[in-house]
Amino acid sequence: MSNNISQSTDQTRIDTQQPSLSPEKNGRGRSVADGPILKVNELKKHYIDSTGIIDRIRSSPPSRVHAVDGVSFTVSRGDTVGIVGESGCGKSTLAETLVGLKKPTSGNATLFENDIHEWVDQNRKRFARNVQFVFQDPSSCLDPKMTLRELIREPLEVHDVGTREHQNNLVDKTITKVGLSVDQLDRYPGELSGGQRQRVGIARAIILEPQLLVLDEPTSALDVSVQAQILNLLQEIQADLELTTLIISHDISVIRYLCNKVLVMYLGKVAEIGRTENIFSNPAHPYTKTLLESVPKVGETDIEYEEVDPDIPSPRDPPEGCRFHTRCPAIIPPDKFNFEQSEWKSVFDYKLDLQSGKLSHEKLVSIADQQGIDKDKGSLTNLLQNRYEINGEISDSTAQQILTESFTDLIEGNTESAYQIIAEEFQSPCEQKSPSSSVVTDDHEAFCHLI
Amino acid sequence: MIKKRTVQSLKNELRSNPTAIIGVAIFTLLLFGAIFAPILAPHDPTTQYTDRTHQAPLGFGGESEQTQLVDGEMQTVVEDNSGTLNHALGTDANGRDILSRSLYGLRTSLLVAITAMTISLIVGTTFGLVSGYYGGRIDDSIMRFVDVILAFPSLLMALALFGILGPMTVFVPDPFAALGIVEDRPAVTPFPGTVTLAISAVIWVWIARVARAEARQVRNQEYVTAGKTMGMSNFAIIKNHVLPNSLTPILVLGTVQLATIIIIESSLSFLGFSGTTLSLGFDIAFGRDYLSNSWWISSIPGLFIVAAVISINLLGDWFRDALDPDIQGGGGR
Amino acid sequence: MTDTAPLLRVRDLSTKFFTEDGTINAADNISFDVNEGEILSIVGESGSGKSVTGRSLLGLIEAPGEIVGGEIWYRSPSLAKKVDDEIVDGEYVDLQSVPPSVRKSLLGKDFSMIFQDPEESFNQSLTVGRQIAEAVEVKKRAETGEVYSNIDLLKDILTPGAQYISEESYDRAVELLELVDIPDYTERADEYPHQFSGGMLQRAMIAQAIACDPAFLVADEPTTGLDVTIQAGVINLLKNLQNELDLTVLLITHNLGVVSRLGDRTAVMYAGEFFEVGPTNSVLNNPENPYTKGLLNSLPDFTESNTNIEPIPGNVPSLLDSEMGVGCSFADRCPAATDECTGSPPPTRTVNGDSEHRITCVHAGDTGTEVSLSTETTAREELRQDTTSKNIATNE
Repeated sequence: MSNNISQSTDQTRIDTQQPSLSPEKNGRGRSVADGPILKVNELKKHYIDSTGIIDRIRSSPPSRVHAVDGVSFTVSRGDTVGIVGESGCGKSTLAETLVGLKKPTSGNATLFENDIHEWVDQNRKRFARNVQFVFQDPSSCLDPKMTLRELIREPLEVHDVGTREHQNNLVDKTITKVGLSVDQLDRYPGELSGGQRQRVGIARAIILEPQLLVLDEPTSALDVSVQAQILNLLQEIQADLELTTLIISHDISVIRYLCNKVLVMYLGKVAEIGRTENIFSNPAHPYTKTLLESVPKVGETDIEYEEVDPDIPSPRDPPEGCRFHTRCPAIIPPDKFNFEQSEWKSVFDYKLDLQSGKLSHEKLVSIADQQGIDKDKGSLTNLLQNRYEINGEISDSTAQQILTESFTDLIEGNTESAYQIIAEEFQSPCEQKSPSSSVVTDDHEAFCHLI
Repeated sequence: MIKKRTVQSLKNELRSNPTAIIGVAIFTLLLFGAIFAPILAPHDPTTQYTDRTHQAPLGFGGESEQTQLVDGEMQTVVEDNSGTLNHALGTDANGRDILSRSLYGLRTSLLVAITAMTISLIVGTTFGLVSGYYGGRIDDSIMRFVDVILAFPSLLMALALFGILGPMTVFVPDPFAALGIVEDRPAVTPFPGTVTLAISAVIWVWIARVARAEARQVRNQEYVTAGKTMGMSNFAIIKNHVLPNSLTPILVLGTVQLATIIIIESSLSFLGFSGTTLSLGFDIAFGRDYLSNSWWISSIPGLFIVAAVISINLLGDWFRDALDPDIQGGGGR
Repeated sequence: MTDTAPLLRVRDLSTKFFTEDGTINAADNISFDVNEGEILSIVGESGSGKSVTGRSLLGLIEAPGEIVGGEIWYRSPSLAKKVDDEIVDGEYVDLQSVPPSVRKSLLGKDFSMIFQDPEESFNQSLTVGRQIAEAVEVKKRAETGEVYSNIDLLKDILTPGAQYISEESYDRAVELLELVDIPDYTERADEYPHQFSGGMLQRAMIAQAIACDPAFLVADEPTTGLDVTIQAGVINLLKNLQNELDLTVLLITHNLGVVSRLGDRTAVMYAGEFFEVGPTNSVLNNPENPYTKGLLNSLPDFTESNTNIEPIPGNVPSLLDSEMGVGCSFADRCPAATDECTGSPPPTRTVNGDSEHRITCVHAGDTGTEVSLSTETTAREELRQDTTSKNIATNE
């Protein structure tokens, strides 16, 4: 194993005694067509809450956070891949796992055909030479007691690169590369602004010329005008050093600006992946569409926006089938009925609430009490219809019958049977099966049953 | 590791805080006295001037009638034990100069304190940082060990060690005597080994606890994670990142613990567990029987201890007030 | 152009912070109006002074900060009757001159605020419903003139069973939770803050803020830190509340997208000054101030590919008095700067003849239309001028 490791990295590096920053000397110049350098294969990372005594006595299984739940993708040399998603989607955990800070629960990731985590176990230093990480928060990722020079030189010291003089030269070159000046090298991080600190963080990551650079929310902690500076800097460095980059961000404009490929994540799984232009101009997955629509566009003052269900499921208990089905406006109705999409969504929401216990006979009664509504069948039915935005009768009469039955059961006090009735009849393929990859176009796939 | 900024904070605090100045002043005086004891002491601390026993300090004492056996007969004799300049702080029951004894005693106390503190700092910081950084089982085992030690009363622990090791006195040659700068002074300074060891054994755990708390906090900082992604070994991370960032509270505690050490050392020598009789505690014990009349025999050494403890506490306060905000370590935005 | 007079007229507001490192000019001679029922956004980066401005209006500046100059005219006929004539101007009362107890009493009654981190703003050991009910109760007692004295404190301590909060206040709290679109509001009222997600908690905070039926609400970064899909919901909520409750809102944020959706008017703030003010559409789509333009050009646009962003070079300046010059604070970073810019403070002018859109810049704006909302033209004069002439200096 170790032979393989040193072989593949030595092919792309000259003698570690004299590294330089100029790419030509490194013998690079491989084209993108050389194939993927990073392959992620059904990677899963779950956190297990430690069991308390009571749980152990009861032998109940500890709760498991499905942070990353089966992610696969590849990255080719020179790519800038953006991983985007909201909180709880697992993008940060994914990044930490790929950098070796966390071990996967199952699945694997390989860099140059070497399993990353075996590599980290055997030779962390060697691995670190190839993969570097830029942190989100510039104020905490720099040791406050070290000068900039010491900070930027540290990676070189750790990896025994050259003489002290050579190291200092490299430090000088790198700090100018990131837009700071050599006379700032004697300062401490506390004396710098957020943007300047982030530049130092980037300097530390690129000074070893890693094969893969991973950035976790590189501009999120920065002011708007500084963000732009860092974004341009990243573009420059990317081009100059021919880096392969992975960028984690929740900010889709940053992703669009910097990345040529995008991975959209939701609750630990990939929703959509493909070339940036494709994803942004033609999003296929309903979640991606929702995401793109929710972001307010600067200068657009008149747009009305329809909100999506804000009830985000917890990664501890992700929904069955397609993760997004509980909130998806485009959820697929069962074949045998003829629903209009909005009707179906309403009925499905009703079913979900029964399923999760958010709606029950008792709750119905208390809502009625609160709103001062009579508890006769007609009023309660009205209440339910209003709550779920069902206007009048549903177009499909069979479905309406079933729904009425369910309502009746619920009103009369039988929550369980109210649920059973619709659970059997009103099933969506979205909740039954986890969607597999569907090709949208060349280099664009989405995980959705609609496609 | 000692930053300009730290020194600046200390200076600023010193300027604005009068008690800090008092602490520094008194401690410097005492330190000076202890170091230059051979020169400053007017007499050899072990010489017994049998004709001048129980002499009071300058400005005290006077004539008193005593019944004594003179030439086989009981006679009333007038004794004058007024203080003289020769023995400015008086003499003890054996006629030894108290000022000289106190200076040498102070020497012992400070020697023990500084040595014990150094050992405690090294051992305590090592264990504490390792425990805090790694967490898990390593942390559990070290901390249980610490708990056991904390459960022992310190004096009991010291007595036990004494029983096993004996006094282990190290006779350190006195440089002043060796160089011939002074004559008629003890040529060696007895350094009580067991006492120092016993005290270290007890004090290191406090240091370890503080070091652990700091390490636990520091290990969650992103710059430690950055060290990992850079490929640093855990040892390198602890040495280069965790240690410098944990140092401040450890040092503050260390300063304050010096006072505790002095008290423990005095207590031990008071009880007779020391390696030397040139000790403040011993003198206090020695003068116990004469508290009603020759009160100075016990009180003067006692005052020296009080002065040392107060000044060290003030020093500790100074450190803490000056360096507390500095623990966060970040200026700017 | 509104027919009704503005709710707030701020004139020459200056807030400074006296720190060990020097005096910081957080807000530097700012003048603006807040119209009734509108959402005015103050947009700026960190260090622009926007938060300080908002807090100054509410009187929430504490040592080492201090409002050192200016007037805050608040239109409240009822208040005007209660205070001394000297600080009254028609229906307006100068909040700066009002006795501190009166000023404080306005908080939680006329004025309210929502903050950025809802987790920090709620007491984790009390239920959400209880905390909102507290706000309702305080307002109720203030209205009836009840003062919570030491006797009441003693009574509450000695009789722990007694409730500070009445049933009605609690019921109202639940109603408020419904108003902010929190599902299952009755159950939620009995839950603790940690059981709420970020977006829900932010809504709860909004509920607490509107509990007192305020005339004026300051929202300090209400959507920062929220997920994008949740943020959209909160934006909609604020818009709805503005319409339903006729709320006047001062929105403080650095997010230009949020401002686009929410703000009726927008003020761009830099280094303690307002650089550009006007209807949001004009300011964001037809900016004239080089800073505004620079800011907009430096934003990556996700709706288009291959956009080039142009960062503004340099860093946000320090607000230290000793380091600020007399001229325009943006001069050192401005592509259009000339010597004129550093010599004297830049004037404020209208833009494209639109009296609503004003900028502070040496080089831009309609020449010859220098306007000034300073105290030289007092509120009285302005009111007179309002009705007699179409003077663009006063009508916003």
